[in-house]
Amino acid sequence: MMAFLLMVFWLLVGGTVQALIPTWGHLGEPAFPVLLGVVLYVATHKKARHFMWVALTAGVLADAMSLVPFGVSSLSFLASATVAMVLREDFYPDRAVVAMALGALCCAASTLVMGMLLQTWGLTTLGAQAVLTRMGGSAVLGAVIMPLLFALLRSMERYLGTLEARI
Amino acid sequence: MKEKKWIAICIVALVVLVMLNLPDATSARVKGAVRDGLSPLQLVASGGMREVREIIRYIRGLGDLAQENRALTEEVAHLRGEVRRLAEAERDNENLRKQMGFRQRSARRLVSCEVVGRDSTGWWQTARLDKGVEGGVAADRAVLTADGLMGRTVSASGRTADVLLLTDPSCKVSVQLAQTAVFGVLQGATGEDPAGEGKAPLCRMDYIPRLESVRIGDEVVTSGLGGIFPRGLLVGHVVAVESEEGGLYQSAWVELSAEMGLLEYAFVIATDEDLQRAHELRLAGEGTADESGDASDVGGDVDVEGTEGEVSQAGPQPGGAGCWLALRAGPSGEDAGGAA
Repeated sequence: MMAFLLMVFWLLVGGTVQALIPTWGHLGEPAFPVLLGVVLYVATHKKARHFMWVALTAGVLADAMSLVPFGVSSLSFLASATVAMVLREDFYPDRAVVAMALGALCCAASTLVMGMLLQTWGLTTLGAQAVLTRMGGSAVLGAVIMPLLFALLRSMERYLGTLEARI
Repeated sequence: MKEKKWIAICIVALVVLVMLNLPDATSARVKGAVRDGLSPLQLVASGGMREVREIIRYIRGLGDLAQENRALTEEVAHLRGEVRRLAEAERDNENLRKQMGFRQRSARRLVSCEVVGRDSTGWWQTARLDKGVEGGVAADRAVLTADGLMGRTVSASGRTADVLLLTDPSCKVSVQLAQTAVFGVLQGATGEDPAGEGKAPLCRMDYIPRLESVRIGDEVVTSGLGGIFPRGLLVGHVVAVESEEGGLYQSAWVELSAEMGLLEYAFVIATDEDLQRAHELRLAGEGTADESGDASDVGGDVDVEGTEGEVSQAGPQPGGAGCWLALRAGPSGEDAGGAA
């Protein structure tokens, strides 16, 4: 129960923080990937059954606080989290380098999925170059943020005693 | 165990499919409910951020306080004089309009809002306001900052509203040059830097007839066409002009007057209907609906939380100042000139 409440808390705080931080033009204006970070953390540190509902909820929160149609963020979060789930057997995500690489890869993948969906539906006027720049920018942000976010969430879990043994 | 896994995957896929195919109205309702639910948290978080920014600003400006105070006092004195002058000019204007038989401009009111968030995915340039339909803010209304036009509301839930900023490429506004009254269409052009100075102008004004004169520094104001933006609201200044060889039109790069980087407060231009609806919603919410009251009496006296004022715009003046924005303080419509 505590673990569930903690995940809900992370999602609410993550959604709020993500909507507060302005985007950075030099990186192609990608959003700060706080919600995706929470999804990736759950995908790599929690039981497999949790990551799906967390990805769905995070997507709903992200879409609700944006002009993006419902479901797009959920789909991109699910795609990224699935990549993380597949990779978690082979890597140890508690290492900062692994978290960096995972963050960069998944953020870029999530941006690509979302960009493709929005382009397909004609909802964005951004060209392919702008989407590529944004992918690069989100990869940089993911590489910087994920190790810090993972460390923060892990220490919070350790403090509350909800840290699960690695599966 | 494998079966359970597949059932879970199927359920998730179904949920995503349903979400992707939700009707627009349902989607808007669900989004609005989530936003309204999160708005208290966002309000607290943005309030905290604002406090931190204030403290940093205070510490930075500690040495210059006396000087700043003097400058502000001088500015207040100057602005009071200006308000008196403009109030007199407005009275004359109204009298002349009456004598000439011109149609009276409909009064609009400003609803002050706090900016509590941005687009959480970064694919659009939007800002979220802390007031929605219940606060007198509806969709498709012009939004201003103290410096100039900021954008327009694209959606409004009960307690929040989203503003599409002028810097977003999908935001198009009919504008004109204040000095020459030449029309054009303003569009966000983030990331482009025509001058190559590393300081990108944020918007581009297209469809300016090639033979018209456009000068650096020309003031750009809204034209009033299109129905959302009232005429004469300050948008920005021309910083560069370019035209294609043999083309029919030229374009101008416009630096916006409103600072989009650090938005804290915004003012939505509300109609009487918006305020009346807000009033009705509030009465319904309080459960004290005044059945005997006539809806038409709400109009000018609706007490919407925050600053309220009437906005009036004047067209471009040949003398220079392109537009002015007169705020009448107080819900009673007391003239700011008199108050000063």
